[in-house]
Amino acid sequence: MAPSSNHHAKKQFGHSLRADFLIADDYTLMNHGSYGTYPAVVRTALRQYQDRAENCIDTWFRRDMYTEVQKAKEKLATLIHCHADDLAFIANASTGINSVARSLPFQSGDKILQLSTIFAATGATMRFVRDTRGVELIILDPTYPISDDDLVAMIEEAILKEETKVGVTGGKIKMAVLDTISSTPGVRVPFERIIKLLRKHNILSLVDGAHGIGQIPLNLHETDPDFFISNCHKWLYTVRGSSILYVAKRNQRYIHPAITSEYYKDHSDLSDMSETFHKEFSWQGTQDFSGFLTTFAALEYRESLGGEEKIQEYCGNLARRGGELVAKILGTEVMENEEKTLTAMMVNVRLPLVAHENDGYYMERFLEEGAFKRKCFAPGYKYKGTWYTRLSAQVYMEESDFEKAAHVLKDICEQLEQERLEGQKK
Amino acid sequence: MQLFDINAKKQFGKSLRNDFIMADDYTPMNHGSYGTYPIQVQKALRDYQDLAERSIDTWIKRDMYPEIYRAKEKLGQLISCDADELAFVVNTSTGINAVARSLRFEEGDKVILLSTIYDAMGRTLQYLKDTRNVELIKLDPVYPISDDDLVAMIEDAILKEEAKTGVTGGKIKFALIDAITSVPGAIVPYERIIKLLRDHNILSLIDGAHAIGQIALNLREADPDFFVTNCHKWLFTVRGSAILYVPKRNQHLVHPATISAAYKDHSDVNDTSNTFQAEFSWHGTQDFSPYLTVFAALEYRESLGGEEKIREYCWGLARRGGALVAKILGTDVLENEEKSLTAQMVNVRLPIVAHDGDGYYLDRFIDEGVYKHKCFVPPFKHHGVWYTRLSAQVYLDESDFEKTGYALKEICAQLEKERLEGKK
Repeated sequence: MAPSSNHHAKKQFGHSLRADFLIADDYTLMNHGSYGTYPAVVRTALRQYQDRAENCIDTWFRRDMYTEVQKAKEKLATLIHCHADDLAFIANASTGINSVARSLPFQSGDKILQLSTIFAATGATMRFVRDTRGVELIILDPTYPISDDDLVAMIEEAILKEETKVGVTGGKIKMAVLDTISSTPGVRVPFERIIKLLRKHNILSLVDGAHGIGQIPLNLHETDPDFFISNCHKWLYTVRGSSILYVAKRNQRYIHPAITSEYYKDHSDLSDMSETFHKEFSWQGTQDFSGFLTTFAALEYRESLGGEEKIQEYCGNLARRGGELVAKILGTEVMENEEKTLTAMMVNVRLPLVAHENDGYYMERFLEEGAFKRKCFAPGYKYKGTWYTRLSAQVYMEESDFEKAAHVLKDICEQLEQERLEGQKK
Repeated sequence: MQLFDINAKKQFGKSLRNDFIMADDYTPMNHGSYGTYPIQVQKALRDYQDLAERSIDTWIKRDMYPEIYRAKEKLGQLISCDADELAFVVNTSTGINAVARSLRFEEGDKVILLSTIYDAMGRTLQYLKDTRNVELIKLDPVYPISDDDLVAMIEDAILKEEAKTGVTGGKIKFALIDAITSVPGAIVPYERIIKLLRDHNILSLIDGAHAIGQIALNLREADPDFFVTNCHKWLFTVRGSAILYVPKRNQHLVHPATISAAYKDHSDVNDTSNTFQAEFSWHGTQDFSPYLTVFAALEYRESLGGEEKIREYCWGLARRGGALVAKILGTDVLENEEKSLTAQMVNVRLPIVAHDGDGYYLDRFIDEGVYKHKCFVPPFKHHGVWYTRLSAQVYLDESDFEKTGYALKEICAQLEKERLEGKK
């Protein structure tokens, strides 16, 4: 359903853009951060690619598709300032994390540094590496809200401590895993500073930027991570199952897909200068590649809204204003540090709930009441003994959505508090 | 589109092309590589995608799972196993990697493989060798080979290792065996091989990429240790839908190639917990809709008369079509004496002589086949002999094989000419 305005006029952020998307009219999507969503024009592109593929699958898979995929990578490379050849398309961040972590030649006694706030699946992957390679995990546990300085200092201290132990730069820490923006809490991490710190100490940086592209500006050329992964289907409006893995050229020889390719070649021999990174990641078994190719339509749509800066400006402001509004209605506060660097397009607000032993069912309750009953869901999560919610700001939203969410949350919290008090009486 | 009584059984052959999405002027002889799906399956895909987008939270956090479970139940009924022993994966490679990369190996462990396994699977085993020091025992059958000879070849290899090591199984941890090889496209007596392996305490990892929808499967009877098959090859589902079968006894051994939050190590023998379904239910965010096209695909196949009728037509067509192409080319079909190799794919020898400089042949078949004749079948070289592999399908009939035969004849004549000119 297209608005009847002159199609050259810049679109207005807010509810008028809902018509561009596929969300049910009666659903208030406050949780874009979890799974993303995409506009109708991206769906059209998806279907066009699928039809084209099915029209002559031999031509598509053996010839035409690769040119398209390469063009899509070039577009993304321009966006995040890197070379297309240093990018690989993968289904999702977890696939990228697994590809890197399981490829690196860790030895028993090596250490991996991580924050306690990394994504559950990423943490599980590191535990898998620990279980199978005898790697030791150093898990730092920041308490949010935390200032950027304090977070960086915490990491630096941990590194220095390890270096003192063994008298080697970096200690035995081979790699550190960090987010660009964590999931719960949904907070921005000063990853650029941390990467520099890690580089100084000869530690590889594996950056889980699942929440990166489309939410914050990225410049991989400047930031120079060793490995960087980002989901296009989260904040960039592509179809689910499209993400990118960036591997700095210096590291490509070590990295193989989680799904071994026919082009797999081991490059352990240092005199082996051949490159198979590009080929190995080009095919990870038969799948529908159309999702990757919705990059074009997604970027075009975002351009039609005014481009990345305008989108991030609107959504960033909405997240802040919306967060404040929700905090006011709930009588709580936004999770933010003094310099106000934690909030990008997701904002975390404390919930008026008292944590207790039996509150494990709260997350389900937020889902049932929010998503299924009231059709307005913001996830509730417990962080260090305090309940929070995370709300996502998007171009198709306005403050009234945050207001609505706040009232839904208030009702749910009141109900839960009542249950808690009744439980106490028993 | 012809008008006909919707209750009438559909006719196999060209009339079914209307049900599919392929270009009218293309003769699709290569179903075996990437599969394809009918319009009603595409509609189901799109319906599921739209449903998801209407309220993604509700879909992913609640409504999707019962649908996926139902789909696994349907597949379980088809291949005789429990839904709880199945996990959806994107493709066979993903399933094979999940198993191969999960297994723990000890010093001196070995893996048996046939030279005919899929390229990527071969490289996966090479990866194991490079990273885990596993020794690869590669057996090299020459097709056409009888089932007995193939099984004997594997048995010999096992006995040899047992003699070396004095241990049952000879320190062979597992064998990677196809149910149907890709090139050549031939049935493997995998059920017999599974039994053989079991007798020697060797795990069986079966690459059944080409299995479901092409051959009848009964996993309860065959009892493999691990089995993977692509629904998007021969079952008419949308690409990116395959299933991994792991019987309960082995579930504690495997973790996905993409570790999820539910990961739990079960090395401790006292640990009897089971996280298989939890671990395999989520490999990171993806579009789950292709898995759910199982329903529409199976409905479509039922409307054609069901699995047996489809097999009957397609197997028959593969044999007749293969013989026809061999006649046109003046060559022969790759088949053993007991005629156990051909299912829905048939391999025909090409009238071209292999030589050092024939590396460009595949590209030529693609260029000439796909673009010029609009009719492509992949050529492959097996032990110095060129063959082609043709895939029979419900939307094809003998005239398609005939057309292909003549297109191949022309391409081969050209290549032979170039070879002879090159010699000068």
